[in-house]
Amino acid sequence: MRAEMRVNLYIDRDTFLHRLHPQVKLGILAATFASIYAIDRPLLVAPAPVALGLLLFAAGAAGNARRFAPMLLAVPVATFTMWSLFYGYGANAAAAPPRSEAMEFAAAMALKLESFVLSSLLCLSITRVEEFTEALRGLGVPYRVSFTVAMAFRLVPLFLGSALSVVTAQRARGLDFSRGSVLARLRRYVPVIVPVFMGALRRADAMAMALEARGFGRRTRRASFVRSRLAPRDLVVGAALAAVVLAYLSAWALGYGRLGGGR
Amino acid sequence: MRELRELWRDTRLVVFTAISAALYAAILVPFKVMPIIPGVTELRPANAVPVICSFLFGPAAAWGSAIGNLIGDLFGGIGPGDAFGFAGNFLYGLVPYRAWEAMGGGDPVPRSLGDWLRLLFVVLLAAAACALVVGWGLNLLGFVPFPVLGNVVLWNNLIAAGVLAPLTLRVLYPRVRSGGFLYFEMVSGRPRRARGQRLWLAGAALFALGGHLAGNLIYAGRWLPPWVAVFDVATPSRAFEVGVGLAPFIVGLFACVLLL
Repeated sequence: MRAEMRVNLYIDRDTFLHRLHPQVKLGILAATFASIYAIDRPLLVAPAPVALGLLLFAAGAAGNARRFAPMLLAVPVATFTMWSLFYGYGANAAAAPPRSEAMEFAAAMALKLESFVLSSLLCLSITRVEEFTEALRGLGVPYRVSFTVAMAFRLVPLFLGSALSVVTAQRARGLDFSRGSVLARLRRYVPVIVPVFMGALRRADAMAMALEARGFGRRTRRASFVRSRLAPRDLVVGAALAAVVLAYLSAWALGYGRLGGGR
Repeated sequence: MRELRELWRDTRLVVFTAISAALYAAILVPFKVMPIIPGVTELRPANAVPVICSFLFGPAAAWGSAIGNLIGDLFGGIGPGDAFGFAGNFLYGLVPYRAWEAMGGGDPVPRSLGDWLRLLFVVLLAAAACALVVGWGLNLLGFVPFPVLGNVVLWNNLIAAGVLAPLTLRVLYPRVRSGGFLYFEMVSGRPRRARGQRLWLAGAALFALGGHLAGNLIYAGRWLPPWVAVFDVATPSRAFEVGVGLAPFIVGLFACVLLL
């Protein structure tokens, strides 16, 4: 149960965002990358994480944001620290960028990576696995590949649950995962990995047979229970996303998003 | 190349791809042995999974580790850099069984010093190939400096897989073989490899390890490849220098591994 909760982030609500076409939901991810990727000014990047945060609340996914709070805090802090040290590293003194520029770049990068985490969280909160598969197929990913991705998604909570059970059982037998050197700690995971693997293999053969029995091996056109249609709201949201991307690209082309030394 | 494509026609191998992906993602999420960079990465036992799966399920492990890493990334923020994570982890699952076969093959259960050295070299090569692609891609995009990510991924993969893979394979391999689940048993026998296998293996090692060294030197400003110098472009994030400087190593690495 705990495993199921940790992996499945989908929030079952009927909000405007949940009703969007799966490809438009993936469009939110793509628009996030395309708009802020080339922008190095933190003030221009900042609206992206703010907007994504608001959308998370609108989707009723504040609980997911709370669950990911340590990551939402650690990612920008680690990124800012790293780039404030590494920006311009190795350049000779004459060509070295000013310190203020390094700080600006580090802050913009921290906000960008925060936006990527938020957009993933939003997508996982509003998209079911079946919709994700449908979106991949719509983008031209072969059926068998998108099916494999969906199947792996479905199996993760199952294997995670089995791994956590094995850990609990081994702990009850006195195996301590938190003591000793790194190598000693790593070695103690062997009695966890082996039973999880064997359990997975036992399922594999049955799964392959079940798939074959349902005609997975046939090369005919696939039918699906999930079939989303584009609605006017999808076109509106799609147009809004395209406008945001265009605005950011124009800002970049006009030089607003760039720092003195370039990327 | 052909086996990577034909795998998708075999239902059992498709299932093993999904299983490799799910195992990788399932062990990635909860088990963190020691944080390396808080919030960014930690020493993860899951990094041994692609290597173990590679020896057991062959090319299914390559696609499986790429998909598994993608699923893991979805829970930690997906971005344009994940295309490189996909490619790097694909190599991480592909290199071990191909390199092992090129070095003589046999059961990947080390019994002598020679076996241990062979297995550790294979793990080193897979770890370096993955680290090179991921470190290069993320620096090319300007997200993370190569010396940070490239080195962290290399050591992270090397330690986790170097310690766990031999010990786990010793227990798992005979059981999986007796169940008839090994890749070479599923596809009825080991495929005949092309001539010059060892040459491709040496090339892969040269590009992976040489590229790693080159990435560190380029970022530190100690070496500028001549094919970068001609452009006379300097970027403070070293995105251009590392991106263009390592491109031939990446192309060479992929060519050698795919021809292996």
